Amino acid sequence: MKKFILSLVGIKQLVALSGLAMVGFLIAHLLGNFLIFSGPIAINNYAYKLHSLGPVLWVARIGLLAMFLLHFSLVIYLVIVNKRARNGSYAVPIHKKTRSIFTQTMRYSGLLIFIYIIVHLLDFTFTPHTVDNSVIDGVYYGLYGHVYNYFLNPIRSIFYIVTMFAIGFHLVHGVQSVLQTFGFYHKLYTPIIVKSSWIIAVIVALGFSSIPVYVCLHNYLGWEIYVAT
Amino acid sequence: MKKITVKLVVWRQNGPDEKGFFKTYFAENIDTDASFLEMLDVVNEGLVKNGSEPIAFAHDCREGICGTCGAVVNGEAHGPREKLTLCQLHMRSFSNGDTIVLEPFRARALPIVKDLVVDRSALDRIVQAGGYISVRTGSAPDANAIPVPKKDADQAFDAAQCIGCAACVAACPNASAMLMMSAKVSHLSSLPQGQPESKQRVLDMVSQMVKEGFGGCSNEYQCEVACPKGISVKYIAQLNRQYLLSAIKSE
Ligand code: HEM
Ligand code: FES
Repeated sequence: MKKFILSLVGIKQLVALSGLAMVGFLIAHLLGNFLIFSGPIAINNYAYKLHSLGPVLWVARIGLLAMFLLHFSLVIYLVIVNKRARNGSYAVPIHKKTRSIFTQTMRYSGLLIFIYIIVHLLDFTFTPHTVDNSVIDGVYYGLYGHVYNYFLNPIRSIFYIVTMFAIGFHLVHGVQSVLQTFGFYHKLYTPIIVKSSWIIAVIVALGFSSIPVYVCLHNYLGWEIYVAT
Repeated sequence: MKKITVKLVVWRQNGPDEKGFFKTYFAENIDTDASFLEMLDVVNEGLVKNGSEPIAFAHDCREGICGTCGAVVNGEAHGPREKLTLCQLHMRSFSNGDTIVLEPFRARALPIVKDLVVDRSALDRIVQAGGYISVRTGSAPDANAIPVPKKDADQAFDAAQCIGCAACVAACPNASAMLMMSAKVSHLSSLPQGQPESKQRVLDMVSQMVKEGFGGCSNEYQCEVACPKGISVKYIAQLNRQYLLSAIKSE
């Protein structure tokens, strides 16, 4: 069994499984992040509740890390094997008939996501919310203040939005591809799933990007911070 | 009768371990009703007359059923027309003065024998690994003794159209043989006669494909449009499904 799971088709299925798990996480993460629109109390409470899950949170974190490492390492293997399979290059490159920009750039959008995830972990998971980074107009807002101040830096905001679009690019191909990888094909459903792949990709890209945009607007227009419960 | 002249830029390679290079030829006054391979025959006659080495290319039936011919024509396996083999391509698909770049199918698993001829025995070995069924010996079985639902028979027949020409490998960004292999798997596994080996078949064929040095599938579907027989990537889905179930159940 091990021999077969660790063969090209099996590996690709593990890549798809881990990719799908990360998509699930991403959607949950996005819904959580949206609480920022309800103000500091809502999102800080949510973060507090998550943290008070204790061991459950750690299981989820370790699972997610495992999925990430699995995806990343197996993809590196696939890219090497797939590159080696072509002997020499064509003088006239093969016409791209079904190859879209999304399928061609999977490894590059993936690489950008990889870099981003490290930056993200360093900036948020491993950086506590302190009075140095989480204070707005002299008031300490914890996580909310941290995120708010973080996105006031335009370079960070732009990098963030670019990577969110990279995730979108990855998912336009990725989500629908998972079904083919696991062998689901249906005349009627497959085209619908290809379309929903687009919808998920757009929701993820625009959804996450809306947060830095909101923060910048909030600051620029001088909106009040909503603190009622 | 229309005549055209085209410029050919052809990959020449003397042997498997020799260094290849492009050489330019002119195919002059070619009848547009001539087939592409006939055009190459004309060029080769000229070369032989001059005492030069003719361009080696593989062919047999010249009617699109054997899967022997094939080259990449201006970046398209089997040339610019869909669902056609190279031997079925005609010079009317080109215009006077066109430049045609001719290259062999490129894959590590399909070594170049000479010029445009590649060694496709890797595909044969994939078929040998699992593309068989067990039958009893002795007298011929009664016709229609085993009922086959029409839908299954149609599907097996559709998949069986694969002629093993390797255009899918040539067009795949990963030089993967998944489309060809999936056609063979579906062809046999769709029929009751193919059931006894159906679990082992897919595992063995995939193992052989990896051993031969083909790449894996990235679901880009370049193979489907390159296939002269229009084999659908739904067979790759079927292969993937069977693989998953067989791999989990295997020891
Ligand atoms: C760590 C950085 C990442 C890299 C380098 C990467 C790279 C890749 C590559 C190259 C493929 C195509 C594999 C192939 O078909 O040969 C792929 C597939 C995929 N990736 Fe990623 N990826 C990364 C992160 C992610 C993340 C964070 C997600 C989810 C949110 C994700 C979801 C997917 C999905 C769903 C697929 C499709 C699997 C399939 O075709 O069946 N990837 N990835
Ligand atoms: S020569 Fe037989 S298919 Fe072209």
